[in-house]
Amino acid sequence: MGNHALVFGATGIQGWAIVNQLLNDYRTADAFEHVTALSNRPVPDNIIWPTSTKLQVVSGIDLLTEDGQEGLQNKVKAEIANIDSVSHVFFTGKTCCD
Amino acid sequence: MIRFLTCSSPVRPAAIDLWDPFSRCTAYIFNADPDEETDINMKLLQRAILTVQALSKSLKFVLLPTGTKSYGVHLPHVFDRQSIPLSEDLPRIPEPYRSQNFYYHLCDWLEKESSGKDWTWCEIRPDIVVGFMPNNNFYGITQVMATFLALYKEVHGEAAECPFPGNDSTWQNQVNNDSSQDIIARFAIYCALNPDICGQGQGFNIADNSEPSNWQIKWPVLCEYFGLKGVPPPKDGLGVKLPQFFKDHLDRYKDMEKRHNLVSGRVDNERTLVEGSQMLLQFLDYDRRLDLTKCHKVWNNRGRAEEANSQTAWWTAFDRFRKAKIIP
Repeated sequence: MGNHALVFGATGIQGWAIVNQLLNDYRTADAFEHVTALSNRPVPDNIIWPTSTKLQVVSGIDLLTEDGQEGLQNKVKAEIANIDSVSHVFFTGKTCCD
Repeated sequence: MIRFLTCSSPVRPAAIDLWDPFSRCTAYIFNADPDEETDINMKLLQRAILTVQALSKSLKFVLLPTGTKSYGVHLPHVFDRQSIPLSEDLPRIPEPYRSQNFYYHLCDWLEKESSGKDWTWCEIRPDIVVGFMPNNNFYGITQVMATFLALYKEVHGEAAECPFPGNDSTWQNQVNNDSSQDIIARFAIYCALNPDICGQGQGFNIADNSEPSNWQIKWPVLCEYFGLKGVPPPKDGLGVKLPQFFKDHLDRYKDMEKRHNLVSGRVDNERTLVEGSQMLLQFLDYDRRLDLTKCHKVWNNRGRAEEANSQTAWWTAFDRFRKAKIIP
């Protein structure tokens, strides 16, 4: 099973760039088999990532959901394909920048 | 989040024009409730990591970007100006600011949570992040500069002189290491793919160049992208007050958006401009250069440490804002 990168906060300044580099085959074309870009906010049309079959974009995942840890896990399991193969987490999700 | 400022003058905070350099007020714009900030950010991280652990048995690495707040660079009255170049082995900042720095809490939690597990982690510390963001970003200096310079050119024409929109003290004294989003991202991925040498909770500064930069070097480079000539600010006061400039020329900006079919919503909010850039352009007027020895050493171990200059950092970002139809 190949590597699966999960990027939280994928529309943020750092998250965007991590997804962009991964889709441009950094460090190699086969370093990651899957790239999942996660966002709470909807992903805008002008996201300007390269198109790639590796990419899965999932928005509307609110980590602070009032459904709690279990509710979040159920939603993630239902909405993120290949979640069981996630090998690398890039946590670039924050409430505000600093 | 409520923001307030402490002031040595007797003038009530509500009466102070934050952009008035003559108010003789030391303005600390910070979250009035750092505990809340910590709680929220801890919850975000914990929920995320616990979820992944529950659903994937394949987790190998967690990459956490933090930043130079870990060195207290945002606290002018606390920051030890003799401690430069800032290196990762500096002690944590003193109380009460230590407990208020949520980065430390996040790192401590990851250290505990990863113990005895099959995954490891590291922390990367960029300085001022330069880069593109598709959504409106209240705190993004790059977006502020991109929209300001696009409008300045619109109003004053190509080849016009554009004064640095901060104060003279910042122009003379601020030294830092810009961190372009691409350098940060590539180093982050490198770390993630090399857990044995990059993991175990290590912290790494990351920035574009071991040679720090300042606005005297950068400002003309930013302006050149827009065909403008970057010049110093006046010795006293501000050459341009950003919120006022956008307010005065809002109609021109809207017209520019229409003519070029741009995405809107970037400049309507004055709060965006005050909070996003004021600290950087007026109050962080000192040298906070980073030591990049550690990240370069580990990056050279199995790769080649990469560096960039101001033009690469800022022009790449401006190109992306252009491609995303945020500036002409």
